[in-house]
Amino acid sequence: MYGTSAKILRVDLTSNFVDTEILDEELYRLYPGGKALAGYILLKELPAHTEPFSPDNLIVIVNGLLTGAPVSTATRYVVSARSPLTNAYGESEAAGFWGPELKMAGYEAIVIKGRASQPVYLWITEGHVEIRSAQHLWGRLTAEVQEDIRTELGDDKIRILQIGIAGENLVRFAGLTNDLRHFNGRNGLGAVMGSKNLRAIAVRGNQRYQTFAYDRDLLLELGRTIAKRVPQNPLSWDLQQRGTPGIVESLNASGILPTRNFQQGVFENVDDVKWEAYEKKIMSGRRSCYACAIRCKREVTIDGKVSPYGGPEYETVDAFGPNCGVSDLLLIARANELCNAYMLDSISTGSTISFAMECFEHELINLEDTGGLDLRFGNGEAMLQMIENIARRRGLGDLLAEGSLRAAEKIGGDAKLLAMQVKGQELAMHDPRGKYNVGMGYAISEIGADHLVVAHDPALANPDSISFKSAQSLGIEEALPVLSLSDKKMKYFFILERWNSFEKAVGFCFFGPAPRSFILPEEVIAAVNAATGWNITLSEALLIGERATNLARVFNTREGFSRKDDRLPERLFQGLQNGPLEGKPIPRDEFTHALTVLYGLKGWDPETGQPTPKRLKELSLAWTVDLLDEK
Amino acid sequence: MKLKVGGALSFYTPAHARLVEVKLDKSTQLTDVLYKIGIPVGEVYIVSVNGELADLNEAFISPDDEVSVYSAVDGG
Repeated sequence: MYGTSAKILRVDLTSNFVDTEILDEELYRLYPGGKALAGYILLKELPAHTEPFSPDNLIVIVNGLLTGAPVSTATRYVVSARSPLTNAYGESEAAGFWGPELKMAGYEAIVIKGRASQPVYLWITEGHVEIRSAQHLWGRLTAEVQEDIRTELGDDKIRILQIGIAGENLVRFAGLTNDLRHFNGRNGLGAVMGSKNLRAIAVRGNQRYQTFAYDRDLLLELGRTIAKRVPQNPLSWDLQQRGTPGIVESLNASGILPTRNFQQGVFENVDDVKWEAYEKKIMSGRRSCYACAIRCKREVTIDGKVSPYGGPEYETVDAFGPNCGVSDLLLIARANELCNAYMLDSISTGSTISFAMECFEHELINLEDTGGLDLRFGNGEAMLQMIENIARRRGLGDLLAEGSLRAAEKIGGDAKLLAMQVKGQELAMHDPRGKYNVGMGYAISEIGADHLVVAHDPALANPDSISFKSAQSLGIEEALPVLSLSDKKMKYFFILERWNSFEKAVGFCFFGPAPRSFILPEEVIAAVNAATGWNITLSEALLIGERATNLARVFNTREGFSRKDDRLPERLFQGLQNGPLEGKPIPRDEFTHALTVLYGLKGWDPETGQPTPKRLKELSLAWTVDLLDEK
Repeated sequence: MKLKVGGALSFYTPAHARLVEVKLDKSTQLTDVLYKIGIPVGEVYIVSVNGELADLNEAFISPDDEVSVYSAVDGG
């Protein structure tokens, strides 16, 4: 088989047993890596109703098919498990260098079960896997741990995926980091790893992707063509120039920059946190992921020192900035450092603190609860203290470490109305009151609120835009308004969701393929075929994407999730307090109707939101039909 | 007029300038101004004139106006 070693490393931390397995090509073509293969393994091997922190929960880490290929933005791997934040199918992706390094070491995936009796880390090289003591690493910051492992193993090029103190302390939104700058932030999967006493996975390999490829020359040529286009396409050029923090001002102008726990859409001090301020006050360089010509990552300097943790992305800037009412970029950059040193998801951390700030202002919690912290919107120092308290589970931080939904249930009163979450996971920093498809993505996503389910509405609202034109080959025939939930818009949502899911399966970053960015759909498919020797078409690609989504949906059905869980926070059905969209909610009845339409398109039961056996069989998922009855 | 060029639109401006000053003798349709600078109107998503949101296709600009244009914003 070309394009992948198809080799899975299996590790049982209870018995210290290590084994390898090679998947066959027929299976790989149905589930070609990433979320598709992770979903397959999880659904096949994880018994229903396994508690997230049980030793029986699995951590499944899988590269995309093209991860490590010499094609810009093909760098992603997924971490999957039953999520302790949502109790649903858990999934979080990251880019960087670790995934390609795992491939160079000869593995596509790692499946980890059991629980080590003492803290350990894994050391993987070509033909060698070792479970090593991590007693001396436990309780330490991520930068220290990375340095110590590299010193201990005598190689400063080793790539390290690790959790932090937050994961050790089972914070329900603890994440993983690789190289200190790339994050599997969402869904609390770092806490699952912590529950297994597994601190890190260190990897080193030498086998270049080209040696796996069916048509090495064609793949290299595609990679060169795509890389050359980065400075020529405004979408990739903009990512290169400004990275994600560049979107702050545009969202503010649109009236949908989440501010003070999504109460407002315009931040009065936006000039202090927008790109020009970022560039002037904290930025000191650009960084990249493996073989990516965009270089969208930012390096920042804080108090005269280059941060080892990279610069805050847009999500972090807003989560600790406007959404907490904070306008000091240095404090925001420090919040970013703290999250990454302790390894907390910055979206859920910022959002949960923002929730607590609103609770404080409504006197649902008081100074006694906060340990004397004046936790009002705008108090950046209190925000920083609360990040530490969450990571170390001190005081109110111990409650907030459970996530905003669980914290709200404990606080009582109207607190639950202030928790901006879906299925227990906090919203990303995109207000769907100005882009309805994002709201639909939040509601329907199997992993809880996720902003990367489909390309956002504005990209496809103008028929003359580059994004719209590039999406036409996917079947997007008409530019539709951002504030629409029409049947046709749901039809396009379904196309875009399948396409995006396919991108994830084969390892592309959201910032690579069209319509979000600059790589044409036909180039994505050509790269897959050059790597594998397959002849997949767009139709097969969309089926792969849909199959992956259905695996996760079957997983959730088995755990008791249904239509009632595909819902948005009540606040989104109320108007914003300021800005151009002031007073304009998402129309509830239209949203409810659109969800039913979307279920119909997906072949899901309109009453329950569960996949029908008929559709599962059409997706070559007949083996999952019986699992629907395990709920 | 002063034109603030936001988002990816500075891709199209001379030296990728984010602030462009344009001399106007009279009220002029914004789309004509953008055309002269080289910014494709198909890429413009948000327009504000003197701090108020405006319709790209209907906006007329006076010589002293301050205008901001932004491209569409996707996930970040």
